[in-house]
Amino acid sequence: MDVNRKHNKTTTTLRLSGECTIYHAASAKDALLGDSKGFDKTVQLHLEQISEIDTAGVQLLLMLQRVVQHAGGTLRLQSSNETVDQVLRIFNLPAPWQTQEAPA
Amino acid sequence: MGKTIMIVDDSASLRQVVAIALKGAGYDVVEAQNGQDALSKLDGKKINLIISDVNMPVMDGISMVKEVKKLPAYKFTPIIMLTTEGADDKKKEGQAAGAKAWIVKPFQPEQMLKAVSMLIAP
Amino acid sequence: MSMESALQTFYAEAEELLHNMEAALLRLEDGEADSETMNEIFRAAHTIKGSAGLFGLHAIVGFTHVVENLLDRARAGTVIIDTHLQGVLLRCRDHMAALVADVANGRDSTPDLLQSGDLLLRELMAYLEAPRSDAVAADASETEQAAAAAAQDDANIPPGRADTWHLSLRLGPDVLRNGMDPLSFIRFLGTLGEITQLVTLDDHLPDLESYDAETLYLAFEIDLRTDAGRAEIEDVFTFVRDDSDIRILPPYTKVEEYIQLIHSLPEGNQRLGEILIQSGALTRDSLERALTTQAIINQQEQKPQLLGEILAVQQAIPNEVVSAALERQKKSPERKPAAEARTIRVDAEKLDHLINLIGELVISRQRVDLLAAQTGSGPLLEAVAALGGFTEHIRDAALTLRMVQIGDTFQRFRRIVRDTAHELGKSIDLEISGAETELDRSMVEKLTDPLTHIVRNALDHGIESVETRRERGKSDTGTLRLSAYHDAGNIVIEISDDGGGLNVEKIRAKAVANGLIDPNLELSSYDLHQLIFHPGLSTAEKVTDLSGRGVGMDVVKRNIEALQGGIDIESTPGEGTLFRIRLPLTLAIIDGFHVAARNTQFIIPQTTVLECMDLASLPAVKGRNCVNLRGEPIPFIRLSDIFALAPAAFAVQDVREKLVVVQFGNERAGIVVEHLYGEVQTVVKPLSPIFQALKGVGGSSLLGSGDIAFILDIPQLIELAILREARQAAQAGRKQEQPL
Repeated sequence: MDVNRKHNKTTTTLRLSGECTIYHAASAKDALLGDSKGFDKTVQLHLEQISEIDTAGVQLLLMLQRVVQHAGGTLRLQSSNETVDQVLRIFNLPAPWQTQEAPA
Repeated sequence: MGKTIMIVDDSASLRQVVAIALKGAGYDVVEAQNGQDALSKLDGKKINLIISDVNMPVMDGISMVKEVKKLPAYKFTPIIMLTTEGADDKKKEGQAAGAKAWIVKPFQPEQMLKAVSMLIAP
Repeated sequence: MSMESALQTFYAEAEELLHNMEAALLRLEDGEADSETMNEIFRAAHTIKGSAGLFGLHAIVGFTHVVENLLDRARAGTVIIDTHLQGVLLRCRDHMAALVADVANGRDSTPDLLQSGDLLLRELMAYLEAPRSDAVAADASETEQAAAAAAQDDANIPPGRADTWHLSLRLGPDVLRNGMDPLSFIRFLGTLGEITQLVTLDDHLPDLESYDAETLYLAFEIDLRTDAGRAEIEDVFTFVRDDSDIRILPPYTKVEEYIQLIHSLPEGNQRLGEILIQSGALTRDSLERALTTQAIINQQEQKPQLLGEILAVQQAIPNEVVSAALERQKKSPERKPAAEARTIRVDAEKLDHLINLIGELVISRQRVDLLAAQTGSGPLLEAVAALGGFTEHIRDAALTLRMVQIGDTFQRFRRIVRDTAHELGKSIDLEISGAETELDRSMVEKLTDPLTHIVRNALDHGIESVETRRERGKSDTGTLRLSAYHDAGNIVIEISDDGGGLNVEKIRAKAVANGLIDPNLELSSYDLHQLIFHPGLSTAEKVTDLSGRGVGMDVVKRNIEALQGGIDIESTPGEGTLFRIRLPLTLAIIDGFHVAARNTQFIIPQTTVLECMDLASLPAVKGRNCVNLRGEPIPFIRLSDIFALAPAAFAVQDVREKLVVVQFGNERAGIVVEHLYGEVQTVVKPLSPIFQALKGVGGSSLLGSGDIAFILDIPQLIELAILREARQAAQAGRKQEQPL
């Protein structure tokens, strides 16, 4: 999984791409949580580039949410895709993880 | 996204039947005839699940599990061991090595498909 | 790929496994009880049962299951395989083979067979009825608990209705590392019914410093609306329940039980209470009342047995123990695993087809050779020569594909030797050497019968009873040796015993009585031995007093000769007998020596040719078809004579006759021809039926020129030459005597 960061005065943008699974969890943890710079701002999370996500991946996102909260920032889910949405829906997570139900 | 399952067993007929069932359920299948053969086929391609016999010549299932657990690209791959009724020690040995799922031989293809779909979705 | 082809694979596989099983069981009898032998026996039963189960072959599974069970215990050392059990296991193997054969041939097993299977199982059960281990007992009590819980569920649940179950999942921290994804379990639960409520609890996520991304911290509370029973729901978590705390509350669970659940889970009362209220399991009112009731808290402190609790039984064995056990296993002596991998199964027909095609290629290439030679073009000739080289390589490589080791054939005799020795009350060891010697697959099949015949004779009549052996000062145990080796393009198979040897006097007497030999004729013991192959002797009645060695030996000889081979005997009275069978390596393509007589083309198998020379240059023995070659008399025959070839229409005068000296076994003879053309690769074609009665010809072949050539049957021709010469000599002898 790759993490792309962008900082500006008010927001931090995180773009995640690739497999967000147990295989990459350890390295993704360092990439995502290793540097807390900008976590005290609005953190915009883009997940539409994620190709696969599992429980370990979801757990990592929840950890991110917690770290951002602790730093005094706010996490926003900015973009997602159907693969990610399906999983988030199964786990029935509260905001900011709630996603639109896909049209039947 | 197609998922790929590796079946490891020294019985060619068992592999054939398992492959027929798995392909019918929409999985891709890679066959290996013993632990060593399986390791040589874990060459970077994505394998979502391994189904392996315990008793095999050349390299048995439990030794194979131990080796798989050392491979960064496969150490988290779920492994179903094909055990024998009454062979609890083997089952435990396999579990200790990291293969937590099992199917008791002899089994019907439906039983296997059920175990597979508990662990990975087609 | 179809189920039918998978079944075919199963039959072939079972046959091979049963074969290995038999060999291993016999090794066991010989005292080789090493772990690899035991494993091989076990694995055969294990694999056959596993595959048979997949095909729904219940009779095979049912029987093999018990065999496997016993073998597994034997492997673990809790059952000792004594001599009696060895015999029983061999019969079990045979029974499995019979069951598989019945299925393969699409027939029902006879009641007799099934009954004998039952008897065998009863014998096995006697060994299996050992005290049950504690582990089994523990399992049983666990099962009873589950059954009791299920029975209670049933009392509460109106049958046949979808109702809501509550599941609390606290999966073990290592499940992700083990490749088990809770996501998959939840998805699968969804196939049992409808997940009406799911709450993911992240309460256990630790600080960033202690967060391990591969550890599971999330927990789940799930409401599942389903008509499935407890067992079906529990099943979903079979693979994770050992390290996990999974609680399943059935529909209509009493409020107190929910409260108990809340107390026993680590997330805090209020949080879980909210979840249960949300799911409709509890009302806020009843929750609050319950939470304040001291009685329930007390109950909780006494740790009551929770309904629906799946106990997380810690069964993990410390890793050190496991690896120590494995270390020990590794140190036990290693045997090369039988039937080692890296092979593929190929239909024999496909292989034969390939060999045939290569045969055609060889012929075409010879034709190209001829045509190229006519052009005299250098580059073309070079290219053709290179092509020829490759063709030869391909031919050789293709022929090795059909080669199999003779070891498997030899191994089959272990059983025959064992059983026959048993029957006769003799003690006989079988020694095998040269098991890795290879020969053509098609020959192996045809070799089994003659070999069996010779071996049985050796066992029945060759090796003496223990008493006789003692009298003769021999060891009690007789030895039968099977050996094979390659010799000058042939494969040689020897069957020898250390028994009494052939009784030359009796053979002679019988041969005289049957009018086969002149009573005054002095025959060497070698020649007398050969007489047992004579139909006039061997098929005669009452030959058992000849140690039975003669019975059917003419058939054996014919079988061997049909394979272009030969057989001879060496026997020493009191010390034993040796049969030596000599066979070509393959029957498909041979290196031939191309000759011609009277414009008819012949091929002499290259391996039999010793030398060629002008017949006229040799000192002839007067009036006889015999030449003196460096002091050795060589009888000869003219192909033009024995095949009654018509002289060529415009025969060249004064063709110098050539003598080709050939050898087969210990015999030599000369074949007189008119032209020598040299070596040629010869693809052997069977003779058309018209020619099959023709003596001295073993096959035909198409030459590069398009002409047909006959492949000479050298053993027959040598025999013929010797016979004719002997007759001539006898006549000459009488002529010399007459004037007196």
